[in-house]
Parts: sequence; structure tokens; C-alpha cells
Amino acid sequence: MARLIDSIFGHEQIWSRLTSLAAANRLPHALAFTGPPGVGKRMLAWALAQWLVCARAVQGRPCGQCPQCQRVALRQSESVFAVEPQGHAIKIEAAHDIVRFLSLQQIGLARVVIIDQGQLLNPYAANALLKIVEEPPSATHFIFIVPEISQLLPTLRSRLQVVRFRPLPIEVLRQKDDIPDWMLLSARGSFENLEAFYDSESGELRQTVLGFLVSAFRGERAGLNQMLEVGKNKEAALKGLLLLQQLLRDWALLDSGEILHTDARAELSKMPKWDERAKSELMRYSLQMESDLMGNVDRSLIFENFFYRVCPQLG
Amino acid sequence: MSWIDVHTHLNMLEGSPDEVLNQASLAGIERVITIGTCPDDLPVVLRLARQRFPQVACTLGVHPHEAALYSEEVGQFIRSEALSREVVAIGETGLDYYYENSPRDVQIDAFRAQMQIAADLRLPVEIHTRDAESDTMQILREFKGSVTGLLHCFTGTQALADVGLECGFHISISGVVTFKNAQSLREVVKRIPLDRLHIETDAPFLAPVPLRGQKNQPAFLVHTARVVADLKDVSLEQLEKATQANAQALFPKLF
Repeated sequence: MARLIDSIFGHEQIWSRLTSLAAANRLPHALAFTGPPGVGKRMLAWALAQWLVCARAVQGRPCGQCPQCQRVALRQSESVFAVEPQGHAIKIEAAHDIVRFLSLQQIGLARVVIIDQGQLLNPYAANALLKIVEEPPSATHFIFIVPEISQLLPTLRSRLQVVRFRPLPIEVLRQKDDIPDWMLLSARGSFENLEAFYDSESGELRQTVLGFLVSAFRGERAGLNQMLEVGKNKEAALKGLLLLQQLLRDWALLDSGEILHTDARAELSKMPKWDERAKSELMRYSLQMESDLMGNVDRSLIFENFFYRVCPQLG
Repeated sequence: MSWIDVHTHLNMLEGSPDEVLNQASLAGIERVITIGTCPDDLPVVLRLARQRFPQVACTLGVHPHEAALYSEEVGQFIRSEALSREVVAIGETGLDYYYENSPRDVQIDAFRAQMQIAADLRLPVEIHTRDAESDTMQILREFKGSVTGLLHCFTGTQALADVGLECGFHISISGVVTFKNAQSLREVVKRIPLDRLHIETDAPFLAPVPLRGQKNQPAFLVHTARVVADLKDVSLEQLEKATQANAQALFPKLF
């Protein structure tokens, strides 16, 4: 689809505000798109770039048909310069590339520089950009994409107008009827998170993890054995642990808050009631499991230890 | 805008030729010259050009990497097919001592043989040269007055550029000029006369900044054009007009 805004769900107010400002020639030349990952900040940045370079934009929409629109959609446009981290940082070379790009002749109506994961700009790169962000050439726009504005250097952040993206509502995430509620709730407003769950194996994995948790509280090893099978694969183990953390959270909030795995309420209710301190200790331990899993700790030991940590409470 | 990509390899690109050409035309690339490199791909580039001329034209020749595959028979094939209107030049031929995929003496023989074909048919030649400046200059001088053409994807020294220009050759600049470490090439480009200058992609190789890492394609040509226009201190429109005129002068069969 050549008109990028058409494939973005939600954020209508942000889009309408930004394009109105742009139409009135009042769009700030440097923006920071902030908000949780996977809600559409990067896509909206590209859609806005398309609007800005489109020669035939009408009523807050780029035409999607002109060569400029099509080339932005293909990520080939000479009017858009996109920077992504190389490894774990955006280094000074990227800042120099941006300055060089802006020193060349402009083609079309506008130029847009999109800096994805701006929190990874190292201090040298951020400092090298200060002057050009402060006083960019005409018809030039910067869009920094960053989870939290506080993750940018104060000197850079003071030059940016912040546009806050919120998690998407469940109705927006529900693009297909067959997505279980627990997946939508677990996604926490992020298509990226939803995508991580929305596959044929996640439902089965969630049942395995729930079975492990329920049987651990009963002191039965059957669930543990299944969990150890999952643990043989690191990726599955990490996903399983995330589900385990969610289920622990639901167990802790069962009486007092909204839970994610609504369809598992009955089984969660059968689990023993612990006092608040013990519950939060167990939750904290599950976070420790995450760092152990990311490291080189034996994966079977991680789940086995959890099992024995839960078992003694039965008595 | 109306640009000509004077050196590309349509048959080596990932997308279908129609898709690639469609994207190129969105970027204002009006024509491309797709390059023959070895006996096996000559019929392929011929077919591509015959189906789409004048949007696509081709050259016929054997790349120095494949020089060992050059033979009398291949030479005869080139001679006969080069009479077609779609074949606008001989090549790519030349010398590559960097990779030395074929022995040097074999490369030199194949290069001379193809220069002779170009001389006999009065066609320009597209030359690839890398780490072989001395021998390249010698052969250009041997054919001075009877063969002109293009030093494609130029990355050589000022001395090679000077000899090429002295022998009537034009010089083509690829995406290499946009690379951070190509400062010496950028200095050479500043001194190439505007009436001998061309730009090319050499796709699928050498995608320009900022699209490095992607498979290059003719649609990326304008990224290189912007840098070359900056070095020549001309507007993009002036560069476009100059390169159009140069292509008309060097490849008359293209128009």
C-alpha cells in the first residue's frame, strides 16, 4: 500500500494535529515521538514524511500515488534519511552522514531525517547534531523516535517538541476475531508485543506454563517435567517465563485488579493465597529468573528452583 | 528529471525487470544500459534489451573476471549481434588485477580483442579497470583515435583519468563516490570535465549512501547524482542535462 497512513491503526488525533500544523506551516522542525515500543511511532514518522514530501497531498492525506509518495513507501526516497543503530549505538558517523545529507541539494518539497531508537545516540553523536537540529536548513524536519524523552541528552531534548504516543486500545489491536483476549491484554497496547504472542504455539505454551504453575503450588512434578521440555529451547523458555510472570501478576491481583488472562481466572483462583510480602518476593524472583535465562545459567535449574521455591509454601 | 543509468546489470537484480524499471522510472531514470559480462549472459542481456528498447539497451562483452572464457567464437558472436540497434557498446571488458580471477595475460588478450571489435564496428567500449592502471593506460593509448568509450565505475587515480580523457574516453561515477572513505575519488570527480561525465549504479553492486546494505538498483541513481552535482558545483538539472548530452554523444545508438 503506497499511502502509509492507511496501514496505521490508532493515533488519529496525533496524525490530525501534526498534519494540520504542517498544512499551516507551523509544524515544529524537530519532533520527538515518545511512547512504548510497538505502538506505531516509526510507522507514523514515515507516514508523516510521506505527507511532507507529497506533491499532491489533500485534506491531511498524502496522495500515495505520486513518485515521491511511492518512493517513500519503497524506502528509496532522496528526501528521507533514516538512521538506525549500528549494533548497540548510534555513533558520530551517523551524525556526520546526516549533516552531509542536509548539505546536498534538496529534491522536492521537504527533507525528513528519522532517527530511530534515538535513546541509543551516543553523546558524541547527539552533540554533533545539536547545531543542525537547532537551525536546520529550510523545509527540513527531524523526527527522533524514543521510548522516553528523558533518554535523550537534555541539550538535545530542549530542542524537540514532544509527541506522546499511548498504548493502543484493545479495540484497535483486535484486527482479527480469532485473537484470544489474554493475548490482546498481554500485548499492553503494542502490536509488536501482540505479534510475539500471535502464533500457533503461544496458546499451547500458555497452557503448559499455567499447568506448571498450578501443579507447582500443589507440589506435583508433572507440570515441571513439561516446563523442562520447554526450557530446552532458549527462545521458548524466555517466552514461557514472560507468560509465567504475567500469570503470577494475575494471581497477585486476582482480588484487587484487572487481570490479563481472564480465561484462566478459575484455575488461578484455586491457587493458594499468599501474603503480600511472599507474593512480591516470588514476583521479584521471577525477574531474577529472567536475567538468569539471558545469562548462561542452566535453564532446567531455573525452572526447577522456581518449583521448589513454590512447593514448601504448601505446608 | 530524466536520467540514464549507463551501467547496470538488470539480469542480476532480485526483482523482476519490470518491477525494477518501474521503480527506476519513479525516480526519473528514463533509460538503462544493461551490461554483458560473460558468454552465458550475452543472450540474456540481448533479450532484455530487445524486449524493452529504448528503455533498456545493452552491451556485449566479457568481463576481465571471465576473460578465460573469451574465445574466437565468443568474439564472432559479439561481432554479429552487436550490429543490432539495442547493442550500444562493447563490454564490459578491461583488466582487474585486484581479484585476478583470470590470469593477467589472458585478461590482456581478451581486452585487446574486444577493443579491436569496438574499433572495427565503430562502437564505444565500457571498460572495467581495477589495480591495473599501467596496462590499462597502455592499451587505451594503443587504440587512441580508433576507440573511445567509458571508464565505468571509476575509482582510479587522476593519472588514469587524465590518460582516459586524453584518449577521448568519458568517465562514469558510481555510488562509490558517496562512500565515506572515497575522498580521493571525490577530488578526481571535481576535475573531470562536465562534458565527459556520466553516472551509473553498477547495480546490484555498490549501493550508495544512505542505502548501503541494500541491493543496489537503478532507482538509487539519484542519490549518487546529488553527490556528484555537489562536487561539480552544479544544480541537479544541469547535471541531468549534461549527462543526457554526454550519453547522446557517446552512445548514439541509444537515441
